[in-house]
Amino acid sequence: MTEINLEGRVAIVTGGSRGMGREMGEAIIEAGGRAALLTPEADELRETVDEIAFHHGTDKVMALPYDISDYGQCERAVAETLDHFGALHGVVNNAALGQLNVIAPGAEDTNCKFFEADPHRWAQVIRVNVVGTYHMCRAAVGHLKDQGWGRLVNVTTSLPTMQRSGNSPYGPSKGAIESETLVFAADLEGSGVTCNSLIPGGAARTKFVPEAYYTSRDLVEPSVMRTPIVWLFSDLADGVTGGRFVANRWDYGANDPSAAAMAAKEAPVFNQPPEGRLD
Amino acid sequence: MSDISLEGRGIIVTGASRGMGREMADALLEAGACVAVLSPEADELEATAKELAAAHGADRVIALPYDISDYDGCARGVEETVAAFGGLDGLVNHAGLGPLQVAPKVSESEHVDFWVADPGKWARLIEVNVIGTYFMSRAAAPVMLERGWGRIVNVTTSLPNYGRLHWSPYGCSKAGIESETLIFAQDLDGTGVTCNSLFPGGAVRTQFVPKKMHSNPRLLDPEVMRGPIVWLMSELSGGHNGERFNARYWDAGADPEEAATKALTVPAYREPPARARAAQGAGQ
Repeated sequence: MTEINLEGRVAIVTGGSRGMGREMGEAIIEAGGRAALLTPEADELRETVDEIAFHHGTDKVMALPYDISDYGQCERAVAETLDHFGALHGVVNNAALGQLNVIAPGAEDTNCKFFEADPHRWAQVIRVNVVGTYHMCRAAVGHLKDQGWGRLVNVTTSLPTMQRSGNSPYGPSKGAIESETLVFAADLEGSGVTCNSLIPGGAARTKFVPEAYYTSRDLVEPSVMRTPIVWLFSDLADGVTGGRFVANRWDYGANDPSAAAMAAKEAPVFNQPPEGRLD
Repeated sequence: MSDISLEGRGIIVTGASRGMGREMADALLEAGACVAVLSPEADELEATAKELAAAHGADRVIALPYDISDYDGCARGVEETVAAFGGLDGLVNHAGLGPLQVAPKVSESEHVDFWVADPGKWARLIEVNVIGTYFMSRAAAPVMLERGWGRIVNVTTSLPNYGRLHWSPYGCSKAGIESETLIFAQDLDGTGVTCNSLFPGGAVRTQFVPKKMHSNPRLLDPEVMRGPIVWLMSELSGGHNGERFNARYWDAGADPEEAATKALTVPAYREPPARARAAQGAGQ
């Protein structure tokens, strides 16, 4: 398959210290780009940035030890990225709190009935995921619109998570983000800045799931996000907006990268009103 | 008007000081229920509660001057309702900030690009709508579960608003609430407590729509919510859980089950494909 070159391109990847975020940051760097990795977990971030710098060069990666639920910190993250790299081309909104934030430690699965959750921990998931994703888009979009080119990629989840028992608050938070993707894409129409959703296509082998899942379930490897994020940040994805891409359905047998991507494209998560109705 | 009786039921309606919330409270009172009207706008709430009490009886109306984005306020609201009415049978999660409430200045009340919105106001809308709806449900559900009977109704919006130009964060907040409805309904499956979504089916003549548009004959009147909310709070809706009803298509002249069938529509979220179902699991 054609190699995609992201030379000169700069991405902020939130939740970038581990798991899928780290994979996406490394993939962008390996394709020639640079990545600013963001997370409030400063120690892990330092280690990750040091490791990536050791392999790829200190000029390829930077640390943004910030919390996306605070708008001021998001603005600072964007300003520091522009200051350090002299460029910014997009944000990968991967940071999120998951069901582990609301279930009891050591629980066998991530199910949590809404009437048993701690209300304050439940609310915090919404603040980080729904509002945090907006905060980063809001803070970055001015620069992206001015340069007439940009990418906002929101990492969401599979359809069952948004509508099956035990999946609040994570499911509702991601449902709201799917709506953000669609509305932001509409607001940005014609600006050269696109907004899409990207999902792994199943529970991923990350700290997002209980460790018991590593052996008991069929998990998706976080590296599944690598090729999709590189394609989304390339010129090949110009004009592709408001879409939803499923990483583990990427067609690696396709003879060009965009055909591979289009095989992984899914309809929006929301139903359309039935014919002739205002629903 | 149907002759459904809600006598003896205690119901909380949030955002009830005006608009659709007030209409629903009035309809529930008219059907015989006791209603706790909730809103943080204490003066307007007090006036509304007085008027409703004058029309329906002082012992059947209480005012809950609380903010649903504060969990303690929600818990207090539930406690006071149980104390006043001897129980809590229903919750109408209607309170929400509207699409005009995120422009940087109030005088600029209009739908805006997401980068024009005031970030603090944007976040606040999510706090009230998404988290507030959960907080009320979280506070009310245990009381209902204990008695094995209850109704939670979340007021949402039409499907195109989940992806419409300039509709963040309002559309996004309601998309989140639609997911809450689906998930809460299944969390409650088999308990006797149900959770459904109800939406008006178009722009309504309330403060959610710019004043200058209010003369537009295509706007719906808040009364559109009366018939469906009475049915949803009654014994008759017991077989419905996790569903979505469009008030616009409620036929007040028909018998309630037939009216409900007409109002019933597709869920907000697409049915997962078979492959996703097979791989069903929590997490990412």
